[in-house]
Amino acid sequence: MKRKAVRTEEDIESTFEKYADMLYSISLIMLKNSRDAEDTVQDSFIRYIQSDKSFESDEHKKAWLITVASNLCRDRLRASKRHRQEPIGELTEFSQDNEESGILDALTRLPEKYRIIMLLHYVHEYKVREIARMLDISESAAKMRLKKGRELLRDIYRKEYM
Amino acid sequence: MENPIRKSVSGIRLSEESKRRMLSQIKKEAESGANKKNIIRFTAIAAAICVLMAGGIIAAVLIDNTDSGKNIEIKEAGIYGRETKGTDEGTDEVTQKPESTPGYQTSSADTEDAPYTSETGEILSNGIYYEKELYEKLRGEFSEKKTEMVISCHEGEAMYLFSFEGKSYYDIEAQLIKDELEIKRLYNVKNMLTQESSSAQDGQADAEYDPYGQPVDELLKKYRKADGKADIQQLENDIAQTEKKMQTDSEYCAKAQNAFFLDFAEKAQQDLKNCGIKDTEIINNYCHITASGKEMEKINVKRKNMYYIEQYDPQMPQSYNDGDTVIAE
Repeated sequence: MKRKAVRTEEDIESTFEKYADMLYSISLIMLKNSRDAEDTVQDSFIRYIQSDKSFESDEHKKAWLITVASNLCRDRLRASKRHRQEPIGELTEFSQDNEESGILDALTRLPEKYRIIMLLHYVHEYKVREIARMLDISESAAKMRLKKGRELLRDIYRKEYM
Repeated sequence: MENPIRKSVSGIRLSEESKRRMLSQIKKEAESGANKKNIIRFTAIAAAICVLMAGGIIAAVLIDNTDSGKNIEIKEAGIYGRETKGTDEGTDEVTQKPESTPGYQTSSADTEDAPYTSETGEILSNGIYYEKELYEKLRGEFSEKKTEMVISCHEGEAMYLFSFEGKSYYDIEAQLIKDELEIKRLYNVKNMLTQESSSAQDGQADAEYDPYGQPVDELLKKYRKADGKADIQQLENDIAQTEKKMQTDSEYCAKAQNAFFLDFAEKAQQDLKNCGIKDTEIINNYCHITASGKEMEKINVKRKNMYYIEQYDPQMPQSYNDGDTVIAE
């Protein structure tokens, strides 16, 4: 029988310190709304403390948190079709220069299913197989979405910024 | 060469104030959760006792009824249609059992080892995978209505069996991965040598492996001049050259990919024509098809488990629909 994990205060703090920014960046790009993104990060950690799941490694924990956060983002997007989105200017202020803000802008304009896969692959360096597992899709669907996400990103960027 | 997507996202951080506020909220939740758990535990024990007592009473009544010769029929409660499955990973999935529609029986999608979940789509008995929304649209009230769809190859393996200009696609992509690894190694060696010269200790890097677990001693030797100092210039030249090579390989790989998708689209188009579906067109290496749900029932292609059909999305950028065909990043 698997041993149930106990979350100590120290563990909660260190996990939060380690992964909060990462979850926030994923949630912000997914939801385009900083308040909702903060709520999602908070909810993800609440799921973490409520869960008895024990993790084999830090990587396992990280992947689990990303899965939780991306599912919560999807729930939020589904729940409110009239989702209030933040003006793009507020998002691009996180970037250092024009080129970066262009890519960030293009990234946020991808359809949701491509946005998350591009983030996981290019920002968090997950392999197609790992992403497929996290998003509960087949490897070939993940490959296909990655390919289309790349194409779309390139198209939006070229059209708007070149 | 830093990954531009990662670079663009790297500036996104929570403010210290937000972090403090959130962490305190999470800790409060943890404390109240612990209290709730105790209450739940107590309630559960109380409920278990009640259930046992109620069970005893029912058993006594049943025995009494059987003894008096009455027929007792115990019906198993069944839930049909909607099932709610709560997960600790965020979503409360609601799965709808598909109703049977002639020609649209789900095959493996209902079984435990189904390769695709109902979350993303359905595999029909003809082995074709449809994105969920499209599937619902085709089998539902719009089954007479024509819908524009795009057909892709959903088995990644097929691409690796494809040959382009006498080379297997597998080898073409493998070369790209080799280039990428080589660039990473060179950057690592550069970092090691730069740190070494800035710390100016004994002038010798002693690491045998880089952070990717690759041996680096040969490379370290290669980029050290006779006087023991690091030859950063030579290293940078080699990095630039390898990056250039990677760019060329990447463009070649993109060509091979395009050739694969075109080849696949042409085969798909032929398969569909053989099934009597004529309204097909190849645009930007993808096979577009306009058909109704009823027409789609006719499909019985040979290349089973390869077709991935999704709805054509007119909101996609123009170039996806009819633009250029180079996939190079």
